[in-house]
Order: sequence, then structure tokens, then C-alpha cells
Amino acid sequence: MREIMKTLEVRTRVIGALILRDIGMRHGGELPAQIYHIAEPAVILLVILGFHFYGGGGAILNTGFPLTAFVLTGYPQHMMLRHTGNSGVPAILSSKSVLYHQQIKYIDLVFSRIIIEVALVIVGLFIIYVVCMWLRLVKAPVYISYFYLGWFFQIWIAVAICFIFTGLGLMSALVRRLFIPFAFIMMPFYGIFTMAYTMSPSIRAFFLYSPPFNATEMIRRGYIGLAIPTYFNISYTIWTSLLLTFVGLAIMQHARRNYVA
Amino acid sequence: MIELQNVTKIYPSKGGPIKALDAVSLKINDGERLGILGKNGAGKSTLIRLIGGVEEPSSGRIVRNMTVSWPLAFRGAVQNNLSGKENILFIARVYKKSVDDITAKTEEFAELGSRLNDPVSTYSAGMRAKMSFGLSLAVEFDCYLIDEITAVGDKRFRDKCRSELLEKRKDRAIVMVSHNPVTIKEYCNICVALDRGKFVDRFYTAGNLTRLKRWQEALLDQGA
Repeated sequence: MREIMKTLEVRTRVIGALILRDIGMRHGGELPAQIYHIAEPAVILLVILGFHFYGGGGAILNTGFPLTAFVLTGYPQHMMLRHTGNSGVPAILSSKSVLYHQQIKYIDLVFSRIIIEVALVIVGLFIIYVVCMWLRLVKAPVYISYFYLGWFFQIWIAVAICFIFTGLGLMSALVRRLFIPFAFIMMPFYGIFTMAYTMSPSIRAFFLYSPPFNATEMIRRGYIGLAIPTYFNISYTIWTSLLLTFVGLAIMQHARRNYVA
Repeated sequence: MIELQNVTKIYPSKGGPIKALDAVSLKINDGERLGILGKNGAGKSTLIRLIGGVEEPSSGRIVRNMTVSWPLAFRGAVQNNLSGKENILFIARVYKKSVDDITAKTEEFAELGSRLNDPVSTYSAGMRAKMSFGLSLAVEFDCYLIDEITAVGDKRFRDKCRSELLEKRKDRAIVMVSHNPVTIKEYCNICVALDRGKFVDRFYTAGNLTRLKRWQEALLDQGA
């Protein structure tokens, strides 16, 4: 038990130091680029809202789901995937030398970067949500617990995918490039454009194989409550997220042992 | 104590995998001073990187029961895009030391003055070495990894290195890589020779200068 506490203490201290280094870095830091990550959902939302007012506003696909809320419950998680998924390799390559400090583990570099990226997305989302509530474009979520649960899974899945692409990316530069098309292909499987409710049962079953699709449905259940049917399977999402995490960790460990970096 | 058990490190390359270290076993006891000789490509740097923990072996195990410094080399483990002060802050946080204490000790050794506020990327090789060395002395390790650092800088710096490592910290372990047998003899009590990823010789340096010299010449012949 004391061992575990000590490990936890070292991990938090190290990750804290790495995060402070990254956000406090004055020379050649990437802070402006990171601040953009807060602004990105706002930019997208402005575009959507343009359509919204131009097209007379209202609901999407006659489901009664308000358009602004539909975007806010579908787009940011995919944005988070894009920002976290490919951040592991540069995080490692740009500060490989800090691995000489034995307290710092490989995964700390990846993890500290993920935390920053996720935090920026969450802060951005929070600000936009508050602004939209103030403009009466969205309401407070009906079931906040489902809202949080869905986001919990989205973050978990983003971390796992980041592990996978970090490991593969260290082995092959091609995979680093392939992440972008991968992220685009994943867009429908994140539920950005659709809800399970509007699908035929066979298509719906197919889309529900995607864990982030399940998680987005949870977020939408959280927002709209029971007014519109939502479909997800919590235990399936847990198991697949766990599986993705272990696969990611195994690939990273393999890359660490057998490849330079 | 640091122990390498059957450690192999393989790097991928276009011409097929390269075995940089081939089932190497080694034990460094507390306070032991080990010098490593070997020509370029023999696996010296790989060995230092593995002992330092920046890379993991492809197979085998490394056991570390003491704190090990980063390799003190031309290119230290200091981060180039941070200033000297930011590096100090980062190290102090990671090793849970007092920032003021580390700053004072590093400043005293490195004598960089106001340049500590500039990014390390603007430092000369000598300044970087002083910074890296000063920081590692301030943190206090059980074992110091030294990669040719004593070849850097002026006489004053070399004298300081000698006094800090050989007098003030003579109880600490050292693992040193050098092409210079005189330096190895001065700093180390045991010497190993590395060739093509394997240890080929091992001897005490005391009274063995001729053997050191012979090795050195052999290495030079091979184009080290």
C-alpha cells in the first residue's frame, strides 16, 4: 500500500512538473497553438450557428434535437480525439532527454501532453456552453450524470487511441500521417452527424460497435433526457475501452523496447 | 548497485537489425568506478543510455538500487528550449528538491551568472556542460554517468570536475566512457573493454597503465 502511494506521489509530481514546463515554457513554447485549441470549437460553432439562423433554426432531422445542442454534444469529442491522438509522438521526441531522470517514465510524457490537450478542449467547451446558455441557445443537461459519463468515456477512448497511435507512430512515420485520415473516417463513428434513433435497426447495430458512438449517445441522453430515444451499452463501452487501452499500452511498450526513441 | 542481466539491445536499420549490445551482464557496486573503453560503434553510448534509463533493453533486465545521474556529456540532459533557470526549476520539481538550494549550487559551480536566464540553446558547448554538471552535482546522485565530459571546457572546469567527483564525492559510483586512458585511470578503479556489443576485457586500472595504453593503441588501430 505504501508502495502504491509512493508511486502515485512520484507520478503526480512528475506529470505536474512536465505540465508546468509545457505551459510555462517561454522559449519556443507552443502556448499560442494551445490557446487556439480552446477557440476552435467556438469557430466551428459560429459557422454552424450561421446555418442555424440562416436556415430558420430549429431541430435536426425532425427529431426535436436542437441544432446548437446537437453540435455541442457531438463535435467537441471528435476534436479532442484529433488533438490528443497524434500528440504522443512529438511529446516523446521533443523531450526524450528528460527520460534520463529515472523518475520520469515514457508514459508520463504522453500523459502530461494528453492532460493539457484534454483540459484545453474541456475549458473551451465549458466557455462555449456557458455563452450558449446565456444566449439561450442551449439548456442545462437534463441528466448531468449521463453527460459526465459520456464525457468520461470519450476522454478514456481518446487516451487509449493516443496510446495506440503513439506506439505505432514511433515505429512508422507513415502511421503518423495516417492518423489524420483515420480521424476523418471516425467522424460518423463519433456520432457527429447522426443519432442512433434515426437509423434503421441493422445500421444502428453496426454503428453501436463503435465505443465513442455509444459515449456520444450517453452525452445526448444527458442533454435531452428521455424526450428522444438514445441507444448505448455501458458495459460494452467499458470492455472495449479497456481492450483499446491494453492494446495501446502493449504497442507502446513494444515500441519502447524495439525502436529508437 | 546497478546490475545488467543478459542485456541485449537491437536497433532496426535499413540493412537489417543491428545488435548494439549482445547479452551483456555487468554489476556496478556502490562506490565502484567503472571505465568503459571501446571504439566508435562498440556499444558504449548504448550502454550509457540503457544504464541511464533513457532507453529500455530489447531483452534482459536492468536492476538499479541507486540513483543514477543523466549522462554528463557534450549534449547534456538539459532542455535546450528552456532557459537555465527553467531547467533548474524543472529538475528541482522532478527530484523534489529546494529550488533555491539547487539554484545556488548550480550557480556556484557553473558560474554562468545572468546567462542562466537565456535559453540553453544559446549556450556554448562548454557552458552547457557546466550547466549540466553543476545541476547533477546539486541534485546529488549515488552514481554519476560520465560521457567524455572531462574533455570539455577549460582547465579550470576540469580541475573543478576532479575536485567535486574525486575528492568531495569519492564515495560515489562512476561509470565513465572515454577515449583517454589517462582520464580512465584517474577516475576509475575498474576498466572494461567493449567490442561489437560484448565485453572483451576487464581489469583493475591500478598499476595497469601499460594495459590501458595497449588497449588505447588497439582502438586507435581500429580507427576509433
